[in-house]
Formats: sequence, C-alpha cells, structure tokens
Amino acid sequence: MVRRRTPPDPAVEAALARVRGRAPQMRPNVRRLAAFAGVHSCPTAAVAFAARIDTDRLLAGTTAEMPFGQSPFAIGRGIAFEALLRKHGHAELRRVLSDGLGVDFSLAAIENLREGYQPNRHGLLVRASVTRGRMAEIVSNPDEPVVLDGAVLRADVGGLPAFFEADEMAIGVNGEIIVGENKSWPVVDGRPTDEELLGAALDQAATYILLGRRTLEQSGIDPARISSKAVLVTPRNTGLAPVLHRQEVGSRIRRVDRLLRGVPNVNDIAASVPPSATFDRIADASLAEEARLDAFGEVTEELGRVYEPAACLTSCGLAWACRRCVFAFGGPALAGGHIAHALPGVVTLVRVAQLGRGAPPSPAEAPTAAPIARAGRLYDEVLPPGQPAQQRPA
Amino acid sequence: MRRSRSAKKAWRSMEKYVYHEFMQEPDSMALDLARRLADAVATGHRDEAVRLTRELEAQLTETGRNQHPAGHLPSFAAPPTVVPVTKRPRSTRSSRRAITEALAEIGVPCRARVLADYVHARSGERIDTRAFAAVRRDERQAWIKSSARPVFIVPALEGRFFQPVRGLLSLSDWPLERRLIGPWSERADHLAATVQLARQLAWLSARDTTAGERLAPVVAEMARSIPGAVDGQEVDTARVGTAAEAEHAALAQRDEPWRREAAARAREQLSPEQQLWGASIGIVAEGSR
Repeated sequence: MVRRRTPPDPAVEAALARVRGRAPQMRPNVRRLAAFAGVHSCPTAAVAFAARIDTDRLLAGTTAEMPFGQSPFAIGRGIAFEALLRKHGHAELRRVLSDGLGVDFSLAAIENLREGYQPNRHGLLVRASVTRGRMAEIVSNPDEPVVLDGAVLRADVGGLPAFFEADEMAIGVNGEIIVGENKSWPVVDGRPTDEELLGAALDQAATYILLGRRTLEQSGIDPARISSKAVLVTPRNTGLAPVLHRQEVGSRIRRVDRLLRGVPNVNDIAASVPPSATFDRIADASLAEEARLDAFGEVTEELGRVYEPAACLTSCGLAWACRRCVFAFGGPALAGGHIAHALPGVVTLVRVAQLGRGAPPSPAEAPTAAPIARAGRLYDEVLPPGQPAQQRPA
Repeated sequence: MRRSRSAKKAWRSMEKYVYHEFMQEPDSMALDLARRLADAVATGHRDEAVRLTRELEAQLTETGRNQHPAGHLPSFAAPPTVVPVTKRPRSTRSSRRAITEALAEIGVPCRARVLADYVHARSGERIDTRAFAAVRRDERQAWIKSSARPVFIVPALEGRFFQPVRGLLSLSDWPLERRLIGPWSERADHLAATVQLARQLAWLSARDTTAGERLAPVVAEMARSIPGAVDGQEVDTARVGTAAEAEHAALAQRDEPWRREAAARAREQLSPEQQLWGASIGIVAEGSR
C-alpha cells in the first residue's frame, strides 16, 4: 500500500512564511546542514534554519555581510573535473571505478540523473523516486554493475522534506552499494592539500550513506548493503587525471545521524516564535543599513542569541552582525565561548571588571564573583593600581 | 659555482643583452657585472640587483656602447608589390543547416561541442556553441507554426520518462530508438560516432587533405577514451574503427534491446508531438519516502 505524505500544516507554513518575510530562501543540502551543526545551539540560527532562510545572503548589501561562498576558480575547476569524468559516455568514470574498486565497469549501466530532469523540486522528486527504485533492484540482481550519476536522496530535516544529491552510487560491487563523491581539489603525493576539505567531503559522503541506508530500510532491504567505506574521486597531483580513494566513515555516519535527529522540528519552532519576530525588515534592501541592523538586533534579542566566535565566524552568515550586537553591550561572549561559559550570571565584561575590583555581587553573580575577585587581587598584586596598565605579551 | 636553473636562465638572457646587442667585442667587466646581476635576480636579492644594475648601466655608458644605433628598427626590405584585397570567405549556409548536416553525417545524438568541432573540421566554419540554445528554441517555434521544414533539430529523450535531454541533439527523421538515451546509450553513441568519423577521416584524407588534417585531432580526441584505439601522435583510422566497433558490439547487446523496449513504450504512451520534443512529468501527489 502506498502511504501518502501528510501535506505540511498550513498554519505552520504560514508562520514560517511570516518569519521569513522577504528574506532570501535556501534549500537544505549537506553543506548547509554541516554549517548549521556548528551553531545549532543558537535560537536565532535554529529559527532561520527551520524557516529556510539563507543566512549567507540575508545581510547582503550591508557591512555585516559575511564573505562566504566558493571561489569562482574552485567552482570552474569543479565543473571541469566533473565534465571530464562524464565525457565520452562517462569513459573516465568507468575507468577510475574499474581501477579503484576492482570490478569491471566498462559495460556498466550508467543512469545519468542529472540530465533530462527538470532543475526544480519536481525534478528532484522524480530523481529521488528513480534512485529508490534502482537501489531496490540490487536485491534481484546484486552483481550487475550500475552507476547512478546524480542520485537524489530524500530526508526529513526538522519535519520538512529535503533533498540531497550524491555524485555517484556504484551498485553491484560484490553485492554492495558504494557511495562516491567527486572533489576537484588535488591529492598530491597521496595527501590532500587541505585536511578540512577532506573532512567536509567525508562528512558529505557519510550523510549520503546514512540517507541511503534509511531509504533501503524503508523499502524493506538490509541497510548494511550500503558500504560504510566511502569513495572519493579527486584529481591526482596538480592535473585533472582522476584517482579513487576509499575511506571508512562509520564514526562520521553516527555523528551525522545524531545531528539530523537534533535539528529542531519546524512545528515546535513555529509554535514558539513570537508573533512579532520576522526577518522581513532585515532583508529589506530599500532600508538604510542602520535600520536593517537595528531590526536584526531586535529580532535576535527577541529570539535569543548565542554568539560563540570560533563556531559562528566559520559557519554562520549572521556572525558579524551578532558580533556587532554583542560588542554594543560588552557581552562576555566577545572573549570567546570558554570565557563566557566560565562567567555564568555575569552579563557584561564591564561588570566582570567591577567584580574584579571587589564590587558586591548580586545573588545570580555570587558563584562566579569570588573567583573573579581573587583574580582581580592577583592582578593588582602583579600590577599595582597606581601604575599605568601595560599590555602583557601574548 | 653551481647555478640554479632560474639563475642560468637569467644569465643567458643577460649575456645576450650585454654581449650581442651592445658590444662589438666582449667587455669583461660588464660581463662580470651582468653575471652577478643575474645571480642576484635569481636569488631574490633585490637591493643587490638594483645596485648592480646601476653599476652596469654606468659601465656601459662609460664605454659608450649602450646606445641603440640610429634607426635600430628591424628592416623588411623588399621591392614594391601589388596585393589584391579579398574578404574572408563567409559561409552561405546557416548555423541550423550546418548542424543538421553534421548530425546527418554523424548519425547519432551529439553534444554541441562535438558538432561545433565537426562542422569546423569538415567546412572550416566556426559555430559558437552558445548559438545552439537559440537554434533549439527556433526549431520548436518553427514546429509549432507548422513550418514546412523537412527535418527538425530535436532533443534526444531520456528513456525512462521520455523527458528532453537538452544537451544532446538529434534529428526528427531518425527512428525513435535512435533518439532515446538509456544507461548504455551515451557510451554506445560515442563509439558509433567515433567509428563514423574515423571512416570519414579515411575518406577525406584521400580527397581533401586540409579537411582531413582538421578532422584528425577531432577523431583522436574522441578515440582517446577507447582502449587500444590511439597511440602517440598518429591516427590510424582502421585501428580506431576496429577498437571502437569491438567495444560498441559488447555494449549494443545491452543497449539495443533496452532502446527497443523503451521506444515501444514511448509509442504506446506519447503523442506524436511528445515523441519529438519530449514529455513533462506533473507531480499529482507526493508518495511516501
């Protein structure tokens, strides 16, 4: 029996549309999910993610816009590398899979799901359906080599459907399904030029493996048919000649699973967002920058804000605007997450300085006040108050 | 002293400048300065290089040999002549016609880049690959207006839902089987096109050597992905044809039955218009995951 997906609750949809206003929209993908993982404890980031707001472009045109995005040269190289793999009826892809996996792919069926499908949600739905069908076929014919180029996997992220596009799924490798990812950064002498890029690529592959296993499970097939060893296809050295690497990503799969389960549900978020909270004015390019940033300050005050420089500055498009807000009132988070965590109950850095000079603490500040006062006394012993302050060496 | 490659290069350049350009006979001091200057440049000692340059200039000025002789421009002495002005020959046929003829000669669905390369090799005409999108649109409009064209340039169709594959062009008078693209078809079509072009190259080389020379790199590039087809800088058309046919025969055993089955489905399900231009899928309801 075919189950029908329950249509999204119109009230929830309306609430999210109101929160979004004119803010640019984004489609969840692996990159977005990884970025959200870094800031998932921030209520503003959670609401923005649930409402599908593109935080990288929300503050476009202001000085708080983060310089995120891929280099056009990296994008061009990526396109050229993928085109090379698909050229002449996927000749290079067949060769690299045959050499790397030890199974002859020269006569393999290659389903190119990137072409012939509409480049929109409908196209993704159809591709997800074809991917599911082809994966189910391995039960009847496990040793027939098949490659799905551009397989689409579907998942619920926070209660809303999202589509994830895997570069390759090689089916029929000793009865297993291998998930592959193409990356155009080079591996020189067996080492990636950037360890962070390698980690991100393996996280991506782990996400596809997890979603692929869930898809198989829903079709009543053993999810272990998808190997936990991911494949990366990268250029060898500084040219574009492709080479295949395999890496065990079991621990990353478990981490992605925890992350996906931790994404807040849109229904909960829609119910908890105050009626006045909206990103509409922040995205309004006709307003002056100050007005947009003031609106940002109001919204984040209302929703709640967790600014942790290390995570936010590398993952969130709102980080510079948040830093500006935190700077305005001298929040302890400015000094870093570990400092903020050491100062529970103290709301500003000015107050930290006062407590250090022996100011009487409030009941909320009491647990933290004693160590701060002790630190202040030690500081004064080393540097008596009469002397001009000198910058200590880093 | 052992010099690095860059120092040697800099030194050779400097030696030529100092010795051959300005001196009738070698000036050992200037040559020594030039040698040290080249070393300084190669090792990145900027200040030293600037100082040595000044010294070298002073040395050459002193010997009065760093001046260009008057009228140092290169001479192209030749007797006067009369040269007729001819315009660059322009093609009399349209891009559409060139693409149609190329597709008819290759005989299988092709991408814009292959068609553009083939047209250039055969006739010397350049077709901008960006023009292909306009040609596709115009063809559809012409078909809607019931144009009396004998043949239309139509997209190949993917064989599962019969949606148009925009990057692959074919001709409307080809049988449906040939216009459908399945899991083996892209490679099979590439091999069939390579066989056809290798035959053409053999034929052209005997009749039109210029066109043959233009077509050879196209065939070599297409054959590069076929094991045993090309080796080195020469194209052996017989070898290319044999290697491509061998691989094609193995793929055709899977590709042709698949295409026949898909074509039968298409004839059953699609209108004549959809059989040419492809179908679109409407999502009625989203099924379960």
